[in-house]
Amino acid sequence: MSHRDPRGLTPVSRRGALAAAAGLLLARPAGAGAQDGDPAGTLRALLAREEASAQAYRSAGMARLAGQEAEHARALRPQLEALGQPAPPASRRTLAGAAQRLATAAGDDRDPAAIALERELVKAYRAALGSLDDPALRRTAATIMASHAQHLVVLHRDPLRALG
Amino acid sequence: MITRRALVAAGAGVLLAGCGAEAEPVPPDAELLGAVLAAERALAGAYALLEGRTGGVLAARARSHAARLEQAGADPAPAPASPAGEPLEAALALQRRSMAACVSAVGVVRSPAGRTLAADVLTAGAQHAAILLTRLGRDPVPTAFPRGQAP
Repeated sequence: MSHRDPRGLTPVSRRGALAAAAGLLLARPAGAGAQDGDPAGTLRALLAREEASAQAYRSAGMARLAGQEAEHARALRPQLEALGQPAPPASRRTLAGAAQRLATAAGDDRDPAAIALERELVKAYRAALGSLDDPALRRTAATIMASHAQHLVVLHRDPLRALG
Repeated sequence: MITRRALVAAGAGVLLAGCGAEAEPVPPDAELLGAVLAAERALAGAYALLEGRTGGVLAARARSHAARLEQAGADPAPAPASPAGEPLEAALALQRRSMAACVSAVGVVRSPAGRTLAADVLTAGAQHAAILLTRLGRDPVPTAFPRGQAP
C-alpha cells in the first residue's frame, strides 16, 4: 500500500529502492547523447531528455515535477536556437528507458522510477558540462542539474538518503 | 569601497564576465573558487549548530566540499558574515550565498575540473537548501532553476 507523507510524496520501499537501483544499472551510460565538442548536439540530447521526462511525469500524474521539467525544456530551446540550430518541434515522444518506466509505473513503483530517472538526468548534465563552451549556457545547465538533484530530495521519504 | 574580491564573494562574478563588462578581467580560478570555499567553511559551522542528524550530515558534506576546493587550489575569500537569526534560516542564507558563488564560478572558471567541482557543489547545495526548506515547512523546490536566489 502506498503511504503518503506530508510532502504529498510516496515513501520508497526497500523493494522499490532495489528496483530503482536495478534501473540505474540498466540505464544508458551517463551523458549518453552528449557529444564532446558539439554543444548543439549536447543541447539537443538534453532537450529530448527534458521533454521525455516532462511527458513521463505527466503520464505518472506527478504534475509539479512535470512542470519543472517542462520549464527546463523551455529554457534549453532558445539556447539551441541561439547556436543557429533549429530546435525540433515539441511533440509527443515515444518514451524509452527510465522515462518509459516512470510513465508506466504505478503505486509503490512510481517514486523509485522517478528517482532512477532523476539520477540519470543529473549524470547527463554533469557529463554535458564539459562540452558547453558558453558561460551562460553552462550556468543554465548547472542550475538545471541542481534542480534535478532537488527533485531527488523530494522523492525520498528520508531526504538525507537523496544525497550522493 | 567594493572590491573585486567582494563582488566575487557575493556571487556577482557574472557582472565582471558577462555582457557589458567584458573589459574587466575575469578573476583567477583560485579566487572564483575561493568565494565558494569561504561560503562552504562558514556553512560547516552553521550546519554544526543545527540539532539532530541533519546538521551533522550537512556539516560533514560542507567540510568535504571545502576540502575538495582546497585541493583544487581555491584561495579562500574572507569569511562571509554569519547571518543573524534562527539557525535554520541562517544556514539557508549562507547556503544560498554558496550556491550563487558556484553559479558564478561555473560560468567563468577556466579549468574544466574547476567548473565541474563548482557544479557539484552547487548541486549538493541545492539539495541542502531543499532539505532546509522542508524543515522550515516551506516549498522545497520553489524554482526550476536553483541558483541561490531567495524566492
